[in-house]
Amino acid sequence: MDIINLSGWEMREKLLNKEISSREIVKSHLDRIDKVEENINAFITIDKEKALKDADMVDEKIKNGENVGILAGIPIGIKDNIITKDFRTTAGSKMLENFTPIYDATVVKKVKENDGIILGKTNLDEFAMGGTTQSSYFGPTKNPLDETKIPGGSSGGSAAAIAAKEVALSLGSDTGGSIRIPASYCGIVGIKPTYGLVSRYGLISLSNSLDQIGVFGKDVRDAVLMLNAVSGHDSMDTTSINNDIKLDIESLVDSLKGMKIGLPKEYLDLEMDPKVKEEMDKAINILKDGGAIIEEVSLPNIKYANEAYNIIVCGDASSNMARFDGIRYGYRAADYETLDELYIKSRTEAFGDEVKKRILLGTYLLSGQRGDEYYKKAQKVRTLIINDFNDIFSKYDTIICPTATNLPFNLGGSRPSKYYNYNEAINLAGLCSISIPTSKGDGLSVGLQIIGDRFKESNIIKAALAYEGMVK
Amino acid sequence: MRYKTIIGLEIHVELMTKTKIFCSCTNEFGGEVNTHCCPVCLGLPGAMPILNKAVLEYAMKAGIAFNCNIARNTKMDRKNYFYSDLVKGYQISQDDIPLCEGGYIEIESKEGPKKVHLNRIHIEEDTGKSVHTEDGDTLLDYNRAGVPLIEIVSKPEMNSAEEARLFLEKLRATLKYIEVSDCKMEEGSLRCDININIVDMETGNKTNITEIKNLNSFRAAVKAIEHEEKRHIDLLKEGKNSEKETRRWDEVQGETIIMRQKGGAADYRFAVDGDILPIEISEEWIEEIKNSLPELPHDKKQRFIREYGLTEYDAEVLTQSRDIALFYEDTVKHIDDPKLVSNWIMGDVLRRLNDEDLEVDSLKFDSKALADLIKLVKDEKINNNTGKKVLRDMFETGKDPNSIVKEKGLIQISDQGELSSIVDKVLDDNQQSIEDYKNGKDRAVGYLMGQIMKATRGKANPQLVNKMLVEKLESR
Amino acid sequence: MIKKDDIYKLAELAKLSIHEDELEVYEEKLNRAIESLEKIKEVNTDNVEITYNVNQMKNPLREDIVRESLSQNEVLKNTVEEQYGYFKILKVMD
Repeated sequence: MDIINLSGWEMREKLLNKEISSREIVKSHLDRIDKVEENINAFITIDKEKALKDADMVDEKIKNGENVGILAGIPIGIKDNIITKDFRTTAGSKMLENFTPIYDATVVKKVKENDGIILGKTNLDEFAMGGTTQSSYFGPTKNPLDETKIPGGSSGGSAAAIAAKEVALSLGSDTGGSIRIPASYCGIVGIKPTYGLVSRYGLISLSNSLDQIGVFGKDVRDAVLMLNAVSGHDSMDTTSINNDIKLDIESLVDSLKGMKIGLPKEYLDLEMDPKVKEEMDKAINILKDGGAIIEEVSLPNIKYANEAYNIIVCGDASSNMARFDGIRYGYRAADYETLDELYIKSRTEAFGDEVKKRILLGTYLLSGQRGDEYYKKAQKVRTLIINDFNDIFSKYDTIICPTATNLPFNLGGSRPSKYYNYNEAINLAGLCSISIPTSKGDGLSVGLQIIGDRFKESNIIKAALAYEGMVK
Repeated sequence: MRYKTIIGLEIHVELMTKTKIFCSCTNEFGGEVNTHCCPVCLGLPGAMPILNKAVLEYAMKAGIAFNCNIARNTKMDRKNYFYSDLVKGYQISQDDIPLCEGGYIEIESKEGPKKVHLNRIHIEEDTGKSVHTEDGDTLLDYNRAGVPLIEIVSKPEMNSAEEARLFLEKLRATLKYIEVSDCKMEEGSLRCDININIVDMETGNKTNITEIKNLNSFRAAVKAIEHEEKRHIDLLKEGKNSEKETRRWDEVQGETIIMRQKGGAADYRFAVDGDILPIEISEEWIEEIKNSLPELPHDKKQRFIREYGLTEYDAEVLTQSRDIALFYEDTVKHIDDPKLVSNWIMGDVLRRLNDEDLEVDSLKFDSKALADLIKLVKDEKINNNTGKKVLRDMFETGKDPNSIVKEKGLIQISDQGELSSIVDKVLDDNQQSIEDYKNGKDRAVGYLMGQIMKATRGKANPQLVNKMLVEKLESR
Repeated sequence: MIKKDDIYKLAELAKLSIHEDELEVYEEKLNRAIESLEKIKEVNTDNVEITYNVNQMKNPLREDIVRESLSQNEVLKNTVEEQYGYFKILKVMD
C-alpha cells in the first residue's frame, strides 16, 4: 500500500484503525516532497521537523486513547497568504520574505485543533493577484499533470501539492476563481464556500467583500472533510455567519432524481476549447442520466461581472496594500533620506509588476470623484448580478458551467483573451461553488463547476458526490 | 465694523471607552510604549476590525447633546493616506454618511445667546505617536493607534476669538458632563484646529482660509485667532491676500508659523471598508441613549436659577462644569443656604482653582468640609476674614476646618464680658484716640478697631466690637 | 486616456516610483485596463441599491471589554529597527 495514493479520509480511517501511524503518513509525504518538490515548486516554506513532531503528538494521543480531531494525522498545505504563527508567511512576495507572524489565522487554529499536520505553506500569485501562480516572487509552480503547463492560480501551490501527492488536503483562497481554476487545471476538487461560511481572520486581504478561504481535496469527500474542519462563526470576523453549518456527508449521498439544475445561456455562448466543450456536453448527459432536470436559464447582467469585479478588487487592493510600508514589518529599503523615500523605495523594490499595476489602477479608480463613477457604480451592478442569481435560485437548486473555458496553457504564457469566464460573478454574489473533474482520464483535466445559493453548500455537495460516483 | 472675522472649528475628541474602537486593547492613556497593541490596531496583515458598540453609544450621546440628527444607516470608510503613525496606510473614518449630522451649540455671546451650528460629528480611529530624537531618528509608539475619536466640525459661524472660546468651553463642558471624554488638552484627548478668514465688509473682499494647528489650550486658541485676525486684516489693508495654508501656533514666539501650503484638495480616495458591515441604528436604541443622558448644562442652569434662587450669572458659572455643579449641590446639601454657598464657591474656591489652573477634583477637601467652614462663619464662630484664612489652610493641607480653628485657637470672641474688658483696656491705652473721636475724627474708630483685633489676634466678633466701641466712646 | 504625468501623480499617491523605462508599459497597460472598464457605464443603475457586503447581519458589534494585548517583544518582532521599545526610522527629514 502506498500511503500517498490514499485520500485524506482513508488515511484517517487507517490511522484510527491503527493500520498506519501518523508518523508513517507524514513521512511518506515528506519523502514524496523530497522527490518531486524541486520540480513542481508547490511550496514556499516547508517545516519537516515540525510536521514530524506534530505527527508524533497525534500518535501519542491515539496511543493514550484520547479523542482526536477530524483531520487527525492528515498532511495539509496552507496557502501562503494565510497567517501562521511562528511560521514564515510571505504571500508570495519579496515584501514579506522574512515575515514571521505572531498569531494564527482562525482556519489555521482550527486545522491545529483538529489535529491536522501542516507540512508547509503553498505557492501563489503575489498577494493572490493573478490566475497562474507565475507572479510569485518564489518562482512559478508547475502543473503536476503536465509540467509544461501552469497549475492555474492564484492558489496554484495548494492545488499542485495535492495533485503531486505532496499533501492530502489544502487550504486556498478565492476572490474571483482562485480555488476553482487551479482545481480544474490540476484535476482535483476545490470548494469556494459561501462568503461568510469560513472566517477570513488571518487571510491577507485582496478584496474584503469578495475574498473567501476555501479547500482542496482529491475527491469530494476529502474536500468536505476539510471544509467541515474550518467552517463556522468566528467572533474575530464579523462578516462570518453567526451559526455553525456542518455538512453531514452521509446524508448527502443520494441520487440526483428531481434536482433542478440551471444552465446559463451566457456561458454556452462563450468561446470554449473543444475538449472543454466535449467534456461539458458529456457531463450534462451524465447529470441527466442521473435524474437531474437541466434547463437553460439566463443571467442577463453577468456580462458586466468582470468590469464590476476589476473595479472593486483593484480599488480594495490599492488600499489593502498600503499597510506594507516597511516600518512595522516587511521589506525596508536600505537607503532612504526622507520618510517618503522610505515608503517609495521599499514598496517599489518589494512589489512585483502585477501588484503595482493593480495598486495604480485602484488608485486611479478611487481618486478624485471617480469613486462614485466606478466603485459605487460597480457595487450597484453587483446588486443587479445578485438579483439575477436570486431569480434563478428561486426555481433551481444549482447552476452548472465549465470551471474554465480553456485548458491550462504553457508556463510563461498568458490566458488567450478569447477564453473568457464568469467566475468572478460567483464572488460578487457571495455564492458557493465546487469544481470537480469531469472525468478520470489521462492528461489535462477539465473542471465541472456546480454553483449553489448562499449557504446551500449541501446542494452542490450532493450534486458533486452523485456526479463523482457516476464517473468513477 | 469694517472687518468681519469668520471662524470654523474642527475638534477631535478621544472617547473614554474601556477599549479601542476596533479591538479589545485597553484605551488607557499612556502605558509603556507599544504594549497596548494587538494584530488589529497594529494593522498586521490578515487582522480584521470589529467595531466597539460603546463607541457608537458615546458618539450618539454627543450627537444628541448637541442636537444632531442621528443616522439610521451608516457605514465605515477608509481614508487613504500615508503617514508613519498610521498603521494601515488608511484611517478608518466616515465619509459621506456621518453618524451625526447638523445640530448646534448655544453660546452666551456679548450680543446674547447665539447658536453655532455643526456640520457633522463622525467616528474614526486615532493614530500612533512619533517622537523625534536629537539624532534625527523617529521613534514610533502605537499605543494610541485605534483609540476612538469623534470629529466635530462646526460651521464657520463664529466671529471672534471670544465666541470661539465660548464655543470650545461649552463643548468641553458638555462632553465632560455626559462623560464621553475627559477632554484633557494636555493629554491630547481634545484637539482643535481652527479655520479662519476675514471679510472686508466695505469692499466684500475675503482673505483665503488659514488652518491653524498645534493648539495646546483654549488660551492658545484665543491668542492664535487674535494673531491671525490681525495678520489677515493687515494683508487686506495692504491690498494683499493670505495664502491657502496650514499654520501652526508657536506658543513661545506668540505667533503662527507656516507649516505647508494647501495645494488642491487632498485626494483621500474614500471607499467603504469591506470588513465592517453597514451599521443600522434603531429608534429604540436612540431613545435608550437619550434616556441615559444626564442633565445637560443648559437644563441644569435653569434648574439652579429656579431651585436655588441664583442669578443667571451665578448659575452659568456654577454649571460650567459638571464637577463644579456637583460640588455646589453637595455643599448645599450640608448647609441649606444656596446663596451663601454660591458666594463662597464662586469667590474664593473658583478664584484659587483658576489661578492655579486646577480642576475641582484636585481639591484636597470635600463639600462637607466646605459646608462646615461656611457654617462656622454663618454661626459667627469665626469672622469672615478668619474664614478665608482657614480656607487657604484647607487648600494647602486638606485639613478639616473645625480642627484648624481649634488648633490655631481661631474661635471668635463673642463673650460680652471678655470683649468689654478688652475694649476698656484698649481705650485706656489710647487716650489720644478718644480725644480725636470727640473732635469728630471718624478715623479714630478704625484705628481702635485695629488695636482690638490685634489684641485678640483677629478673633473678636467685629460687629459686636464695633457696637461696643462706639457705645463706650460716647459714654467716656 | 491617462497620460504619463497622470501616472506619476498616481504613483505619488500610492508611494511607488515608476522608472522612465517602464512608463510606456504602464501607460499602455493602465489605459487598456481603464478602457475595458468603460462598458460598466452602459448599465442603468438608477434606483439600484449599493451592495456593500452580501452578508446582511445586523450590527455584529463588540462589547467594550478589555482583553490582553501583545507583549512589546511580539509587537516589535518583525521590524527592521527598534530602540527603547519603539519602532525606529533612521534620520528622516520631514
